[in-house]
Amino acid sequence: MTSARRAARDEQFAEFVVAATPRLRRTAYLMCRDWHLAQDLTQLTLARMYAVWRRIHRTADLEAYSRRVLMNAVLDQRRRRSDTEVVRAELPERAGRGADASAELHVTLMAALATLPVRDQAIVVLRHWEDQSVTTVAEILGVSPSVVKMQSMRALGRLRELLGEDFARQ
Amino acid sequence: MHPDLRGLFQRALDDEPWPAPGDPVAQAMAQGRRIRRRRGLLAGGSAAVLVAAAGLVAHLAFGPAPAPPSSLPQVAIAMGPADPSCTWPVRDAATDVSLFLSEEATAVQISGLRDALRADPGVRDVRFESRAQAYQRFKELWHDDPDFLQSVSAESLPQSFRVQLTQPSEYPRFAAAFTHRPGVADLVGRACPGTPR
Repeated sequence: MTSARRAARDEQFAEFVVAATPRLRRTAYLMCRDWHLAQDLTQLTLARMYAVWRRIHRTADLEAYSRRVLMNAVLDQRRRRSDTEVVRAELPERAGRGADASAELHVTLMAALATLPVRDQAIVVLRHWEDQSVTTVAEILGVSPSVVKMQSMRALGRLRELLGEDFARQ
Repeated sequence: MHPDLRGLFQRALDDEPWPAPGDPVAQAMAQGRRIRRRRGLLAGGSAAVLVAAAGLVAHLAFGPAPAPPSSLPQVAIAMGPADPSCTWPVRDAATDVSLFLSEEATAVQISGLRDALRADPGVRDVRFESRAQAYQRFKELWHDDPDFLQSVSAESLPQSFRVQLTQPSEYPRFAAAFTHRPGVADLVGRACPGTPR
């Protein structure tokens, strides 16, 4: 009885892993710009969820839960790394100067994103890639909705500034 | 609001590689069990503890062990009900310390240790945990895994002293003073925000 129930839970977990992995890995990549690290962070997220799966498996919104776990993993990783690394404060090059600038705009965007504070990066990615509402983003990051709104505006303004005309025109 | 951003993100993801080979479900489950174990059950430190822990990992990763271990002498059950805000083992600053007693610790050694702990100026509180109490806690932590519970008996769990320090900064001195005392098998410090109880 108990082990049958556990088998059913594990089955459900396996389904969740298959369904959620691509999304988690892409979001992780946008946050860290490294596919290997994105894979590790995704794996860690799934492992942390499995560790408490018995408690959460009936949770209505496992996706929202997984976003929160992933972002915490990203923030942890960043905190540890920032002890040893200096955050690059400026873009090495401004886009919009080369002939193929518009073709490489996504590269510039990723570089520009990297210059933002990590929580602002999370807000931009959750709002504009994962398409989450201000309220949901606030819950995921554990801040108030007004902080999300304010920082979101600030972050977009900064991106626009870094990306230059091309981005503003699009 | 910014469809252009979404499009740019999509292009940034174009070079997505194939997922690494392996079974992500099995990997997540194995790692998840290790996380659960670290949070709730075991505190590593000495080689003996790690050896016992490796046995547990084998069990956890591959289901019921073929032959239940007759004893896990240094299975150090951690530190009270699982509290995810605590970290261990720590080296520099600990709020609580567990002193696991060796199999051969004598009654005289244990009472001498108790006196020394009570006399130590860095100690706020001392509590003894018997094998039976350890087993009780063990059962609560693992109530959802009957197979595993069955493979561990009260006798295989160590006795311990649970010590609260007055100051986290006392820990290095405290650890140096008690690690090598007769009867002590292992000493594990834990840092919890928000203690004392």
